Amino acid sequence: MENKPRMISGSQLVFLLLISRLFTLFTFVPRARTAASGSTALLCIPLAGIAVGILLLPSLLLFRRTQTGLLDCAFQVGSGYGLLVSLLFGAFCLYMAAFTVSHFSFFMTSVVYPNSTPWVFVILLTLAAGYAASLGLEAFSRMSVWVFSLLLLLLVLFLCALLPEANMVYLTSPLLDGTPAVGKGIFYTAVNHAEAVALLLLLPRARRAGGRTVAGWLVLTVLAYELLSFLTLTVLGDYAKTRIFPLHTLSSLTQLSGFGRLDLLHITLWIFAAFLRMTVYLYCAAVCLRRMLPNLRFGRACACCAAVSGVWALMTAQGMRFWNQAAEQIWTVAAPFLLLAVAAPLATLLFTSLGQSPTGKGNGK
Amino acid sequence: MKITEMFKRRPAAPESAYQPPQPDAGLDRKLAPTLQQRLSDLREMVGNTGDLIVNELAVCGIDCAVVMCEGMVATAVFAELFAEPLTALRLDQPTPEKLLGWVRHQSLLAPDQKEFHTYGDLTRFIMSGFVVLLAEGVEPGLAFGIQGYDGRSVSEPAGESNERGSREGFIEKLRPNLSLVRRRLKSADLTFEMVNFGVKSRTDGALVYLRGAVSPELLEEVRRRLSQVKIDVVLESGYLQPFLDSKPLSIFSGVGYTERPDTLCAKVSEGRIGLLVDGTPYALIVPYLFNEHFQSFDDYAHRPYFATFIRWLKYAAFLFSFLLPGLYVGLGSFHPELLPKNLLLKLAQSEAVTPLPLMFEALLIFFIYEIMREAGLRMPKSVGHAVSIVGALVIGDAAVTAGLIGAPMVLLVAMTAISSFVVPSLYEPVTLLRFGFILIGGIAGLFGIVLALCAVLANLCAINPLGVPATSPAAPFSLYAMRDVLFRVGWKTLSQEDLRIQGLTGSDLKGEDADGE
Repeated sequence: MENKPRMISGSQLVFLLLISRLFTLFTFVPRARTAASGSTALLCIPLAGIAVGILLLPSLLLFRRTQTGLLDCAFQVGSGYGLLVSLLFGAFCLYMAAFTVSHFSFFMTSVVYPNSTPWVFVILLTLAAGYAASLGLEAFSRMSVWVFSLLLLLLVLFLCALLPEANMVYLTSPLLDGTPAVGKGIFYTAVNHAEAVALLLLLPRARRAGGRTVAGWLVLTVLAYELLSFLTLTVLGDYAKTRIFPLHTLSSLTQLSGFGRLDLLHITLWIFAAFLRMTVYLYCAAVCLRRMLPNLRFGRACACCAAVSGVWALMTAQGMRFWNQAAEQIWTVAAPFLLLAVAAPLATLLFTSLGQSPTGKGNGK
Repeated sequence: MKITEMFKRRPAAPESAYQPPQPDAGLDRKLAPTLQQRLSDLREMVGNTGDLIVNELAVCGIDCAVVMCEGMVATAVFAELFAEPLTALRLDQPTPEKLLGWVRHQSLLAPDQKEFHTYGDLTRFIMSGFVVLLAEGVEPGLAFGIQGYDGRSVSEPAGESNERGSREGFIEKLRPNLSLVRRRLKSADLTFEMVNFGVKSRTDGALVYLRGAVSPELLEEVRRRLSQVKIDVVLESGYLQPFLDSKPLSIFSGVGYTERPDTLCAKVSEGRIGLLVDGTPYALIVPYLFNEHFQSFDDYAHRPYFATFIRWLKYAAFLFSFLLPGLYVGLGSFHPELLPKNLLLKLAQSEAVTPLPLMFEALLIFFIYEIMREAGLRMPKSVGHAVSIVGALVIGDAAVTAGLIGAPMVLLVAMTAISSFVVPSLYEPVTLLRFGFILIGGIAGLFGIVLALCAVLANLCAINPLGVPATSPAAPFSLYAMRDVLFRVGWKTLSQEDLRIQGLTGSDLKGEDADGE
């Protein structure tokens, strides 16, 4: 009874992806040349949300038609194609897991433990996330509800503490840098929604998931991003551009009467978010690996993925040169997103439509 | 192991040399046709045990035997209700069939009267305190339930005291426990399904459930799991707990327990199943959700706002009991800047004179505390005061005076120890987690603590006792069940809709789409 895989709820999937997405806000580095900054970013965030929604339409259409996951559809098209899609998705998930743990260890060694080396954080976080991934999707998706509650608490405290400090003088016209800057900002912000790849893999495991789930995720992400970016901009102003982690600076400056500084809460939430994000990607990578090697047990698949991403992170976390270079080249971010979240579902949809009669199975809800 | 071997299918486990416990031989044999043969077989089966009493007598000229176990029968009741009517019996033209008919239809030698045909039942009834009547010339034996062994009488539950509820708790004997439940739930749907555990001990037990409320799937699953119990001797319900637990290696259990009949009744009425085992003054409850550890019977007697306050107090105490020492060690060792300045100065002042680092100091004092607690639990009550004095004076005072341990650490131990007793059913995981968090706090600071908390949370969220998520109704979320989790709403609201365990979101005990999100 308890051994069969369970479905998670659509809201749990939304929380999971929202927290995972917010992790990138914590690691937001304003000096990256590709990132939109200031008031332009405030305009780009909602427009990028709409763009992602449009870009995900093929995936949603595919899911609506077949009611199965992208990997299932890919294997139905052909085993070679299925293996290729699994390999690409799995590799991307491992890349994102390594990215997460590297950025996290960079934050920890820069801000919280300046005298430590990154490998401690890489190893501990990889171990914990690998363990959580092996427990199954429902375990960490249920956990995301608690973390979401913590996130809401942090947002409320931030609002209470920082709204009086907000200075609207820092708000300028979002078109001040010109329309190309806005377009570039929208594109960059949209392709940074790497969670869309995880969404495609997890969507079939969510009950009654579909367009509403995706819309809910995008709306909540845009709201949280917009709010935190607005506070960072109006409270820190130009000072934010000089900081490596503006959000952490913001929380360090926050004083809330009896609560004191909020950076403890911020660091706690950061660790939770890193843990969940790492777990999501390790789980997705393990799912892809098992598609390629069906005889491999899930626990071992998680261990393999954790080991690979851990080694990758260990090799790249020191100095962060690899990740900084990757962040500065917009196509290294955009290409995987466009290939996996847009092109792969579109191709699969076409293949499926061509190989299926109009009265064939999977007419959707 | 080679890496390539990881990807191969695991070969089937080799045949084990271990043989599972076998029941006593000949238990399923039919009773012999003659009385002497039956008695001879019985003596052979029980190995002429010293506590077997066999009284051979003639009733209306028919050879009979009254068999019982010494000390298991109520002697006065036996003499008055059983022996006297039987010896005074006069039948016209007596035959064994007539004697059997009189016992069956015209007498009431005992309210609990059973027929049996096998040696297995014969020995089981005798060993359970029944008086057995065997007669020459008739096949079935008759068992009369006039047990009267000594035992503790119904008293206040030691581990679940309350202010306003009943003072009655379960005892070691099964039958009085059943009556305690029946007295509170007079519904015809309340069912006691008698079960038997232990190949050798043949311990009696009873599944307690409310027909109509319990999910048939849940009931079937519990029966299936209990049928897999292959243990020689079951002396306590704890022996059965791992068979009911979904993840026996998890830190938290999905099986609850109570020594209060009223609590069992409340749980049973929500569609859960209770398990009472002879010899155990606790009932096991499945499935048991995590939030139920924080509920007590008094919550429903107090006014809602006070009950809610107490509920939050318990949540805070639970967090204190395993997180506080680790946080103290982690923040003190790695992040002193996060502590308020005055507090930091006080702590630094007291810790400056102690020879051990914070982590070792905490591990040492909690280790000593656990030793004292264990000693206090096991040692005779008469010397219990000595342990208290040693604990309070030697550990508490002398160690601080000698500069071995800081005064804040002693305060921390006291706070943590008291907090851990607020939710006694979680004492086991809390104790282990506390040591774990001290270690990780001392090694990796706040990062380690939060990461360990993540792992513990994931572990908790992974438990699905008998198909119901242990973290329900918070995750997955059930709005109507949340009325008794963070807040205890008033009885007028509580009574509007009954809670059923199978109705919670994420439960497998129902159709796929029956849940509401």
